[in-house]
Amino acid sequence: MNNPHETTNRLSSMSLNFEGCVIAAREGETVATALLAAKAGYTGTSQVSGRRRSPYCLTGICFECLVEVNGHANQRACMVRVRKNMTIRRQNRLPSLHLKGRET
Amino acid sequence: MNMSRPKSSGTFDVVIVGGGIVGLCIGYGLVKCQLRVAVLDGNDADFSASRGNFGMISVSNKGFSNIPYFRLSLTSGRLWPLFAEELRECSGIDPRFQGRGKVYLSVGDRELDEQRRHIEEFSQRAGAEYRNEILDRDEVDALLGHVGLGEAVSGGSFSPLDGAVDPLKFYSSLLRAYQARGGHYLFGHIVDRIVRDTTAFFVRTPAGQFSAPRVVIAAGLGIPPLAKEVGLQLKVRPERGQIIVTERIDQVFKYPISGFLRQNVEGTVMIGSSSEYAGRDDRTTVEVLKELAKSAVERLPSLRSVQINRCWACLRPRTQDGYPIYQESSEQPGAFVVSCHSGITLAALHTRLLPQWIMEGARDRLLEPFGLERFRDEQPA
Amino acid sequence: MSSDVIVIGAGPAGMTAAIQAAEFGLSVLVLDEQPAPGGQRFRDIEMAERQAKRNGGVLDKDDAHGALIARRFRESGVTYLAQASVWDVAADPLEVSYLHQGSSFSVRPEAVVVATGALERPVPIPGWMLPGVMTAGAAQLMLKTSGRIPEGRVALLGCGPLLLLAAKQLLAAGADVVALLQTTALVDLLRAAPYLPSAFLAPKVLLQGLRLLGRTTGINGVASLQGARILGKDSVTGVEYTVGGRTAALNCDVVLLHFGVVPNTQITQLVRADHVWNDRQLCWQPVTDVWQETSIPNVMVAGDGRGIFGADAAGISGRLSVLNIAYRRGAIPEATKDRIARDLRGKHERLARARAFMDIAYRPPASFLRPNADVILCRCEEVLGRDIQAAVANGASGMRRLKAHTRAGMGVCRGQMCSMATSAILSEQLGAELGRLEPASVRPPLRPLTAGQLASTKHYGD
Repeated sequence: MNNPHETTNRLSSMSLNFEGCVIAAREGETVATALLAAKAGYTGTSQVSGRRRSPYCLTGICFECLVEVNGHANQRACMVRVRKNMTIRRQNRLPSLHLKGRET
Repeated sequence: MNMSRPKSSGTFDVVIVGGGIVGLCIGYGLVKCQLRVAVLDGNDADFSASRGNFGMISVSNKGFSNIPYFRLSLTSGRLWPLFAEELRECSGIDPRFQGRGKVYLSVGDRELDEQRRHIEEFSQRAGAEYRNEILDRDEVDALLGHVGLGEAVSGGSFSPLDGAVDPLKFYSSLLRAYQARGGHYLFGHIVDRIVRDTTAFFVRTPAGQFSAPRVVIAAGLGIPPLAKEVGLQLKVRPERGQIIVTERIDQVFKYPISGFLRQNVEGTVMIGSSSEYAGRDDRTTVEVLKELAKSAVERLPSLRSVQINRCWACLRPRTQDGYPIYQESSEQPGAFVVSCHSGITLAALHTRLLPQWIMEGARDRLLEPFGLERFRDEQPA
Repeated sequence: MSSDVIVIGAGPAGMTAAIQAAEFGLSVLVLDEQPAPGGQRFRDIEMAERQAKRNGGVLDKDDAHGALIARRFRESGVTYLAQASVWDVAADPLEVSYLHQGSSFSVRPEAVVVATGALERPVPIPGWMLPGVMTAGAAQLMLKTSGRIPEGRVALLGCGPLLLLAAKQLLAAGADVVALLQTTALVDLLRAAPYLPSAFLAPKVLLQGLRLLGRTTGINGVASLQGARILGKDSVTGVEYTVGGRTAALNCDVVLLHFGVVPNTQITQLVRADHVWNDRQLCWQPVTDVWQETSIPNVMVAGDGRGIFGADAAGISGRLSVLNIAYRRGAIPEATKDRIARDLRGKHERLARARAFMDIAYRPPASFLRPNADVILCRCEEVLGRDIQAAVANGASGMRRLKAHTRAGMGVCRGQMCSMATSAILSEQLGAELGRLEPASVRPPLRPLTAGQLASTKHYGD
């Protein structure tokens, strides 16, 4: 069978920084699939109970995959395409107004 | 469990038409006096200001041109701490009352001057009980946790008379407390007739009939046609308010900002609020939401990068002059109408003072100025 | 700058709607949240086609058709904004607000075609929030967009054709699929057999279905699943399931859930169009007329957002949705409109008839639709089934009051994950049939937007 989604001959790969570690990502994929493939385990914790969360629907609907992308809190990992030198952190805390204010 | 789906009939000491904050506060006060009470609520989709409000307990900006209204609000504000504690104990749900006070923000020097003059004049009119202190820019910044003020913010003021509750927790807590004390809450009842014979009122809905020697109409925007049933004429018009709710952020706002911002315990920030007349249209509009956001980021630029989770609009019932109405029908004694715009602020007072009026007929002197007599010279609806 | 039509979504329905409208000479603006056309069904189809070419392979027939539509869409001359998230749609006047490249815009078109497709039916079962649980559709997308397969031992659980397809694709791609747990039973297939489009097909389809219910090489195949619980503390360690009254368990690292798809009615509910409960597909759908116009004038719906009929039907539905718009704009005469419509409706009906079999054969069982009291229904606000029960006992008589009492549906996902489940519990508590209660209200913004972005919302074209 000719699998059009064959993993070999994929577009070039790049690296991301996730929680201080370097992980590999494929050009054109989303942060969510890169984190799943890197066995990130979980991508954030719940703001209500602290339970671990990870990507669920990959279509932008469930908001389970929220991460911090380059310092911006609450970004849906499944809707963000990987870019070179991206820094990703687990969304583990409530965003702070003070931090947010300085970014803009 | 006293909550139930439509029942065909029932006999009570008091039937209250309207299951919002106002109706439930009266009901709660009455069941505390060991009376048999039924609160008739409408449908899920009905306009409800009780589930759409800012949760502000506002005293310091109430009644500048009507000092009795200030006294009413002040008394309620003083009753609130005990009321909140009582609800928490009785219902097991904390209404998250905060009685620390409220900040006003002034934009531009002129606004600050106006605020200063306003406070001086208010103090003169209201006496020593009025408290509201002018602050300079740095003082406001400190009170707001140094989140950074917009350039145009010139200062403001702080009043310890004000407070806030979590509007949804308060509503749940009140409903639970009312039922825990034996009150009957019945939903899905749109009242279409109120008739009277020699002994009692009969409140009729498509799903049933409820009778009681006393009936209280507290149905917000639904009041006018029902009031007519008991011989009272009054106007209530819908005032639309739109509100923005943000994502949860770290607790930063210790005090609510008057008419503009409040942070809930779980971290979401409510930004509001508009005041428009749009008939019975309770949808949001991008135009107004944009203005709300503009004014928010102008005053507090750090809000710029906060995500918005939800925007909503609700219709608040507004009487002709904006002040409350407490009126018993002279044509049909035993029938009462209660309408107000500040169900949250006045909640504690309603619980305390309205039962006595309803059961004994004598309006407390605080309530006295708020009858329908004041509209006598105006054209009827 | 103005547009005759705004098409929301660039899946099979959105693309064909846009192509057709452009052919009629209408000015079209297409807003889509994805970076490339195709929707979920043909996600990244252009990339797949390029890769297939590079590898000297070919796309299968369906994908090749999708790639062709995408190519015609690119060449159609419509204004296409990728990664544009619609956050509000208002009626009278019709206004669409969206976020694109970090800025918010509002635009007032003559008509809107909502082509936002479907989403996988969220079915809360114990353990469904654990890391390692995803939807089967998510695994499929992962394979399509990044060529990756889930790491570790995979169990698929639920029902529906997509579950079976995902299992097949994952196996082919080398995933370690250890179990296919289906709620579907043999009797479901037999019950659905009379709905097969042709009796001639019946034996073949039934046989296929039977084979899929049975064991496939190396896979633990289970049918007639009555209940399931995903095991694990910080992540998935296995599944415990009940069949024929007996409980068994298996070890795995990933669980892929799927219980069919339902229309994405977020936008049609936001504009407060009338909706009706579809009892066969167990979902809400907008009420539409023969021109696919909702109860809100000039708001049309195309594709699976009107009821689930699949990608081929969506392509036809997309074309149908713009006919009356073009006629009203004076772009085509009535005779042309009617002629094209007749032809398209015939094709659509044939495909719709074929769908009935799927709906009946793969109907999710009631035991899964009515969630357990101990399960988190609302992931965002972490509301349990029993919290809903308590709220109903306190007087929550409908979805809106329920929201006020429990916060269920108030979180970031805007209730998309929990509203069906909370409504099922609420219905049960109130003794109402499923679909009798009004759905919860949908509020803007549909997608995250910052206060700063809202404050500087511009008119499109300014």
